[in-house]
Amino acid sequence: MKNNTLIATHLLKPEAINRHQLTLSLITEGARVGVFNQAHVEKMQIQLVTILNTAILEYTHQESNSVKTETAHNIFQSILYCCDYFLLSLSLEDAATVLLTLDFNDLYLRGLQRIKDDVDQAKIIEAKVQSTMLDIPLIAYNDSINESIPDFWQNYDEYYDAHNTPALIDYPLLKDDMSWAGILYIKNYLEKLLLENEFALCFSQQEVIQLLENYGEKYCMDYREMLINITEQILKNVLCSALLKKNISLSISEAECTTLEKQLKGLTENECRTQLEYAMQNIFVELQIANSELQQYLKSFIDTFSPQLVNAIRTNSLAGLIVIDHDHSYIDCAHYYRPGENLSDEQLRLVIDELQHCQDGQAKFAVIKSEIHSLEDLIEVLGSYCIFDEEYNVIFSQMEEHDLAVLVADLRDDYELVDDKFVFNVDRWHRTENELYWQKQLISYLLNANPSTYENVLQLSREFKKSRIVK
Amino acid sequence: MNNLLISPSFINNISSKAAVEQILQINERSLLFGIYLTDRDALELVETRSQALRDFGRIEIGSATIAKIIEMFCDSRYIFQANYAETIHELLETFYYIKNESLDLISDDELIEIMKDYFENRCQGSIELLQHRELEHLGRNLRFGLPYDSNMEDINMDMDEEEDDEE
Repeated sequence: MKNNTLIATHLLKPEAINRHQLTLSLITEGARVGVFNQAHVEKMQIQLVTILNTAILEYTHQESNSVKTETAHNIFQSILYCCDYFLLSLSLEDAATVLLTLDFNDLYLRGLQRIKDDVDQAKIIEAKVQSTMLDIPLIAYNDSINESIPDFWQNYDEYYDAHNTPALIDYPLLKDDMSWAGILYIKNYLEKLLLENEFALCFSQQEVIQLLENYGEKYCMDYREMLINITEQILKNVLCSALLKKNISLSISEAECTTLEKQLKGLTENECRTQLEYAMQNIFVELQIANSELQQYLKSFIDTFSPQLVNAIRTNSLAGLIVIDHDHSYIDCAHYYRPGENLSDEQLRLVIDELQHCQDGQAKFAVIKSEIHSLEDLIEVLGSYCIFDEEYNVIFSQMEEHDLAVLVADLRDDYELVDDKFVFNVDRWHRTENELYWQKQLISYLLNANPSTYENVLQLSREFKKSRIVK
Repeated sequence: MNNLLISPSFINNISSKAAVEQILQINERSLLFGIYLTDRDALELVETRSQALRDFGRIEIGSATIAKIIEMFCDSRYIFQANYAETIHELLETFYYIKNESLDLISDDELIEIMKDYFENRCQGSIELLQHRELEHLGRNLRFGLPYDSNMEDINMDMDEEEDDEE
């Protein structure tokens, strides 16, 4: 037996072993190189079948000797996952020795016990994650912690389904290894999430929310509904902030972005990486991050970020890689593009009813101004057959140029501007009659408006479109 | 189960040898009723069981079911040496078919006991009646969450009457 083990250390090829199916691949590779002979393999097979038989009988509460093939397959995978779980903590040589010397049932029971221990440990980590949870209304983040993980505990079955992850976890980690499953994945997920919470808590929550809002505006979306990793957004900006050698901050202005582009221009990937490593070290010092595990985790992001940064500098697109803090001073005067201020369906219905009872465009504009606060709602109202003909002109004439520009920027998803003329470039069947009606009214109003108004609105809409801050 | 180490055929092979021995041991009891199975009969029954498991997408380790069926039916007044092996073949296929049809909602022992009861009484030894009338009915009842011996026709009639009353 000892000789066999010695042979194993020399002959087992690590590259031939699949760690995700450790037991099976170790037996296969061991048999291939002669570490296990035919008798060993047959003994292992019979032991595995015996465990499967016992598990099937327990699964059916001793009531049935046979089960559907899929059920048996699932139970067998679960048994192998338990064996893998124990072997994963050993070196390949030790794992091979265990397979030679230990009865498979013992191996299975040890793996099962380790899974149970890790379930307990993961629940302790989960409590820590909840106590350090960020006060940020990112839906995927909150749902994953408050609903998905508890769902997992409720549905996880270490006896017959240990290898599955019965929960829908949407929130992506900075570095998520989804090749694992079961408790191994969840424990790993929670450990990393705890580190990410610890890092994000180094910043004011308001600052982080502002960063995420800016990120959402960049993609014309409500950040709360996006599947983004908070730590990634923070890290990108603070790394750039550290590269700029300014105080660690989440806010990067357009000017600073341009400066950084010039600063990094011409650097090789290695040079850029060195600078990022130095910047990361500065962040640890500035933010007093002493947790070596967290340091290691954050450092691993450089592998991902460094090539992205080099590419962004090369293509002059750094603004697309990080989140720019735009000057919002001129935006605040407009009413219609604040995310998250949409009316509910019932509220919107009431506003539309109210508009239908108004006698003229002036009264309708007053209702719109006081009740509508988001672009989506405004567009809904404009196309709801509660405003007619000349009333559109009255309403548009009462709106400020910014507000009109926001509408035009949205309109330009459908229309192309050719020589300052609107050319419809979407298949007409993709728009309802109502949508086409108010769009025509707006274009008609602008074409008949004062040329300077027309010019200003188009110019503003270009800016909105460029900085993608509409909605 | 689709890996090379443990495949359904491997499980069948390791179960087969023990199954043949177990079947032949039951001859001691069945000879009391004047019937027995030969080595060849036993081998063929094991093959039928393997084929039925494959056909109905099931896995069974060991030979407990085949032995239980033979033990239960060897004292049947409708089984003679001439139809003994053939009847057991058909009962085996029927058993696994009904396990699937009943969504595994009935235990092995209970199903075998019911099969025996129906075979002896309601069907008077007719495998066709057992398969196509009684056990189909049982499977349907269980799938609908009813007791296995509920009379579906009665229930349908009751429902029709209720609908008529409402009208």
